[in-house]
Amino acid sequence: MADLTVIDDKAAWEARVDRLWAARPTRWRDAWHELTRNKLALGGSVIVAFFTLVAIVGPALAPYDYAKQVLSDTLLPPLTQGHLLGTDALGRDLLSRLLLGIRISMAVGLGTTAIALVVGTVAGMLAGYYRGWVDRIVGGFVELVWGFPLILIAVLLIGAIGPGLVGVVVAVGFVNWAGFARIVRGEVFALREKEFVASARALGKGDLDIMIRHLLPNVVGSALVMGSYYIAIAIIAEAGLSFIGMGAQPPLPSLGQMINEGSGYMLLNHWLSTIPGIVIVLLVLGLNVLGDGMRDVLDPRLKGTG
Amino acid sequence: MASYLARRTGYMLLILLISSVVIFYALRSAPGGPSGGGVLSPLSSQEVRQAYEKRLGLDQPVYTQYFIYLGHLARGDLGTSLVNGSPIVELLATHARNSLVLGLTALLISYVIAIPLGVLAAVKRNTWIDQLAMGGAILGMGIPNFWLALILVYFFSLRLGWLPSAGCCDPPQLIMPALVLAAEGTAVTMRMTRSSMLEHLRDDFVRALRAKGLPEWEVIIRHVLRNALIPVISLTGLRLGWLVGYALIVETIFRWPGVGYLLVDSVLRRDYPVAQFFSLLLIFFVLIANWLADIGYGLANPRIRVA
Amino acid sequence: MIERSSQTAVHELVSQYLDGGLSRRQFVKGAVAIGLSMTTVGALLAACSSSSPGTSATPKRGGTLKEGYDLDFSRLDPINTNWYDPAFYAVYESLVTNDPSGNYVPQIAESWNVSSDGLKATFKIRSGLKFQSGAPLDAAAIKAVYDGIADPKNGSPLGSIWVPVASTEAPDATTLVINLKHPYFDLFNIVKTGYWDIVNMAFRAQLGDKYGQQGVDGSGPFTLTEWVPGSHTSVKRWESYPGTVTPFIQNKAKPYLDGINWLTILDAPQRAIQIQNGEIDTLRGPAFQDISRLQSDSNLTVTKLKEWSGYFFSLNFKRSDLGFNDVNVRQALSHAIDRASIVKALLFEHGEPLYGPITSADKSYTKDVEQFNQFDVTKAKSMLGDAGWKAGSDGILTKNGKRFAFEMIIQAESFNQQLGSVIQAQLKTVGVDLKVSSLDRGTFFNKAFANPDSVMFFYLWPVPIDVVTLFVNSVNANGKGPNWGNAVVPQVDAAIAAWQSAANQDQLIAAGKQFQLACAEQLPFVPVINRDAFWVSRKRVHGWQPDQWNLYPYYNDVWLD
Repeated sequence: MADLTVIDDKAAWEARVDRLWAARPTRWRDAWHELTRNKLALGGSVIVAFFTLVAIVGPALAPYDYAKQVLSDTLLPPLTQGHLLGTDALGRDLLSRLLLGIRISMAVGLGTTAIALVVGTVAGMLAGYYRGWVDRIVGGFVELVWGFPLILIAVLLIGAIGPGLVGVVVAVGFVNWAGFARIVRGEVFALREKEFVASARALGKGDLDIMIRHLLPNVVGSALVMGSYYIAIAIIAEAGLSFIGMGAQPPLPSLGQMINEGSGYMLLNHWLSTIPGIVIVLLVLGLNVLGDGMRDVLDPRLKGTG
Repeated sequence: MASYLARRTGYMLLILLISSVVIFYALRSAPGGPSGGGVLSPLSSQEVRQAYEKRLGLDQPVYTQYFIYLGHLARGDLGTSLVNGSPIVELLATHARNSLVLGLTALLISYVIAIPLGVLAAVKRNTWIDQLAMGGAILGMGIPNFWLALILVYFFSLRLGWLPSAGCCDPPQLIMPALVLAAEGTAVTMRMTRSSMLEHLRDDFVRALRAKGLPEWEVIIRHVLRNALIPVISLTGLRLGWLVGYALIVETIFRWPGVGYLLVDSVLRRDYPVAQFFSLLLIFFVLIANWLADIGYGLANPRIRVA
Repeated sequence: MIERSSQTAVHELVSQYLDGGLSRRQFVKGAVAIGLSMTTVGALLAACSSSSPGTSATPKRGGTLKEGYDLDFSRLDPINTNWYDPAFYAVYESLVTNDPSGNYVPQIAESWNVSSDGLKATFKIRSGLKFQSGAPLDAAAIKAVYDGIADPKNGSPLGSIWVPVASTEAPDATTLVINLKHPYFDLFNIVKTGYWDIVNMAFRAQLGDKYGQQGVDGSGPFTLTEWVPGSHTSVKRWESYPGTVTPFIQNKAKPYLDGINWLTILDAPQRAIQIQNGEIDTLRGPAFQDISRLQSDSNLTVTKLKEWSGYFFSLNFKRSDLGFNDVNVRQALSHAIDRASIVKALLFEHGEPLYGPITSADKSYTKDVEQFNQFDVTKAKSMLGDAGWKAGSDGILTKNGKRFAFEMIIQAESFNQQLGSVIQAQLKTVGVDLKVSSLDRGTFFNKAFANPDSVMFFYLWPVPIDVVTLFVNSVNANGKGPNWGNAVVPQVDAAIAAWQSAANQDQLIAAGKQFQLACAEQLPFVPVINRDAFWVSRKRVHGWQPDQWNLYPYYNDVWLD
C-alpha cells in the first residue's frame, strides 16, 4: 500500500500549512482554472474519468452476461469468436467480466475511502483541535490500527459476516482512516494557532462552528488529495485480499479476483491475468497522477516537487 | 526531555497492552478454532474436538486465558505452536531472521536505486531524466505487488530460466521477492528524495555556497543531499514496521518463510499462540518505529513536544 | 518369493538383458530355467521396459530428492492426521503393502493366513525389527497401535471403519492375531493404508500433542528432520534401517538417498515452472492446464494414474424446507450437473464424471451406477416441478413463498472455487440460487460440522468404499463424524453392514455393488467428478515409480544421477 510519503515529516507539515494558509484567498477560486492548466492533473483526470465512465455504463454495454459459462469455449485468446478479450477458464467472456470488475473495484475503492475519509477527518480534527487526552486517544487508535495486520482484521470480519466485498470494504476502511486522521490532525494542530481561529473564538463562536466553518474548508483539500491516493491503495488492497481468496466471491469479478483466477493459467493463457493487471496499473496510475496534480493545484508552491 | 521520554514510553507500553487485549479477544472471537482442521484431524468428532480444546484451556473464559498468557509471558515463556509444536522462540529465530534478510535487502535496494535517481531528477528537474524517473516512480506505486511478482516469475523463471521461482533461502531465491518488496518503497523514496532536494536547493545557504565558488557536485552531494536526506531517513523508521506487514503477500507468493508468511498461516489455521505473538510483535515494531521517529523529532526540534 | 541363491542369477540375467546381451526370448528362457514363474518374468520385463534409459547403470548413493507437493502437510501421526502425506512412505511402514499390480505383499509382516471361518487373521512378524528410536518393533508394539485406533480417546476419526475388529492379540513377539466379530474381507485393504502405519505408541504417548509435529518414531528407511507447516517436510536416511523384505522393492538394504525434501507448492503454475527449471526433481499433482506443457518437455517423464477419490457435495437432510430429505429433489439437483463438460473444461479431459460414490480406479467399481445422475436439465426441472417448486419472477424457484436458495461451503483453493462456480452456474439453469462461500482451513471444518446447507469436499484415500462410508454412514451424522449432510439412508446403512461383514471376495464385490447403487440412487451426497493423478519426474531421477495401488511412491529404490 502506498502511503503518505511526502507528508510524514512534522516540520515539513508546519511549513506546508503556513503556505496553504498564505495561498488561501485565491486557492479555491483558481482551482478549476489551475486544474485544467496542469497537465498532470489533466492527464490523471482523463484516465480516472474514463474508468469512472466505464464503471458506470460499461456493464450495461457488456456483450455477454458476466456469469454466463460456456464450458465448450474456454480459454479462448483475445480477438476470437466474438470475444474481444477472449474467455476465461470457465468460458466466460473476459471483456464483460472486466467491465463489471472495474465497476466493483472502483466501488470498493470509493466505498472504503469514503468511510476512511469521514471517520479519519472527524477523528483527526477532534485530535488536532482539542489536543491533550483526545489527541492521545485518537493517536493511540491510529498507532494501533497502523500496526494491526490487515489479514487479521480481514479474517475476523470475514469470519463474522462471511467472505465477500462488504468485509473487504470494512476491513480496508478500518485500516485506512488512520491515514486521514494523521494528515488532518497535523493540519488542524497547526491551523488552530492561526489568527483567524483565535479571532473566531474571540467573537464567541463555538468549537463545532469553528471546526466546520473555519477548519474543515482548510483541510478538505488535503483530505481530497489523500483520498485520491487512498482510492488507489484500497483498490490494490482489495486485489490483494481477493488474491488470497477473501475478496469478491464467485461469480462476481473484481480486478483482483480476476488476476487471482487468471494466475493459475499463467502458462497457458497469460491474458487472463495480464489484462486485469494492466487495468489496475492504469487505474492506480491515473489516481496517483490525479492526486499529484490536485496537490499542485491546491498548493501551487509545491508544484513539481513531488 | 526526560519527562517527555518517560511519557512517550509509558504511552507506547499502554498501547501495546491495549493491543494485546484486542488481539487476544479478536483471534478467539473469529469463527473456527485450532480444532477446525488447522491442527486437529478435520474429521474428528465433536467430542474429540471438545476434549482437545479443554486440554488447551480454550474452554475457559477469554479473560482467564488472557491472564494465564500474560503470566507465561512474564516468565519468558512465549508458548509453542499448536500446529507443529515448535517453541515460538525458535520460530522467532528462523522466521524473523528470514524476514529481516528480505526486508533489509529490499530497503537497501530501494535506497541504492531511489536516492541517486531522486537526486538526479531534482538536479535535472523537468528534463527527460526527471520525467522518466518520476514516471517510473508513479508506475512503481501503481503496480500491485502480487501482479509484479507474477510478471517477474513469468519472465525470469519461465522465459529466461535465470532465477528460481520461489523458495528459501539461497541468495538467488532472495532476488525476486526483494525486488518486488522494494518496488513500491523505491518509488516512494525517490519521490521523497526529489521533493526534499528541491526544497533545499532553494535554501539561501545553497546560494551562498555557490557564490563562494564551490563546485556544483560538492554543493549538491555534501550540503544539499545531507540535509535533504533527513526526512528520507526518518521515513525509514515508519516504513520499516510497515514493510513487515507489506511482506505478507510477497512472502506468501514466493514461499519465503518469514514473519508475514507465518502470520497469515497461523491466523488461517487459528494457531492462537503463534498468531497472537506475531501480531503483537508487528504492532510492537510499528510502535517502536513511531517512538523512535517521535523521539528523534523531539530531540531535533525542542519546540515540538507533541505526544 | 525368490530364493536367495537364485536372486543373484536373476540379477545377472536382468543386467545382461538390459545391456542388450540377451534378446527378450533368451531372457525368458533363462528366467524360466532358474525357476521363475511366468508371472514373475512378466513383472521383471515390465520393470525393465518402464525404467528410463540409464537404469542399467549402478545406482548412486547420496543426494537429496526435492519433491514438489500440491497440498500442505499435516502432522505425521497416523492415528490423528488430516491426511497422510508422501513422507509417510519414507518414515513409516505397514503390516502389509501393495505391489504395483495390487497384490498384498509383506512389509512388517512376512507372511499371514486367515482362518477358514474368516474370523481370525494371523500375521507372522519379521523378527528383530526396531523403531528408529531403538525400541523393539514386535507383535506387542503393533497390537498397541491397533488398540490405539480402536480407542476413542485417541480420536482416530477412522474408528468406525475398525468396528469389525473384536480384539488384537500378541501371543509372542512374532505373532499377531486379529480377531474379528464377523468375517471382514477388506481387512488387508485397511491395514495397508497410512492410517494403520506402525508407530511406537510409547513414544507417541510421551510426546503427546507434539507427536508427529516435533518427533516421529516409525520403522521406515528415513527419519524426520523437520516439518515446517506450509513450507516443507524433510527426512534423512536412517542409517540403522534393517532393510526390507517387500518383493517389488529392489534395493533390500538402506536407501540410496541421503534425504528427501518435500516442498508444498500451492500455486499451480509455480509447480510446473519449478519442475521445468529443475528446482525440484519430482512433482505430485501438476495443474491440469499445465499437463500438456509438461508432457512435451523432453527433460520430464509424466505418469498418469487413476485417482481413487472424487469430488462430491452434500445436501443437508435437515433442510426439509428445501426438500433435501426428499430423494427426488436430490436427484433433480444431480441431473442439473453437466459432469462431462466439467471434466472437459476444468480437467482437460484428465478425469471422468462421477455417477456413484467411488471411482473406476477401484476393483469393485460397477458401471451400473451410470444409469443414475446423468445430465438432463429437462428431467431436473420436471422433478423439481413435481416436488412443488415453481419459477418466480427472477427465474429462481419458489415454493410456499420460499426461494430455492442455499449456501455451499468450500475450502479456499483455486480448483474448488472453479468447481463451486460451475456448480453454481449449472444449478442456476434449473432455477436454484446457490451461494458459494470459500472458507479458510480454520473455519471450513468447524462450519462443516455445524449443520451447513452443503459442503463440497474431496477426499484423498486409496480405499474408496471404506472411506466413503465415513461420509454417508448414519452413525456419523449429527456432528459425530463427517456425515455433514446428516444423511440417514437405510439402504446405504444396510450396504455398509454387508460390506463390513463380507466373508469372501464374492460377498465383498456384491456388497460393494449394493453400496454403490444405493449411494448413486439415494444420493447421501452428490458425486461430481474424479480427476486423474499425475506424477512428474526429471530424467535424473531413477527408481521413483508411483503406482496405482499406493497413494505415494516408495523411496527405497530412488537414486539421482
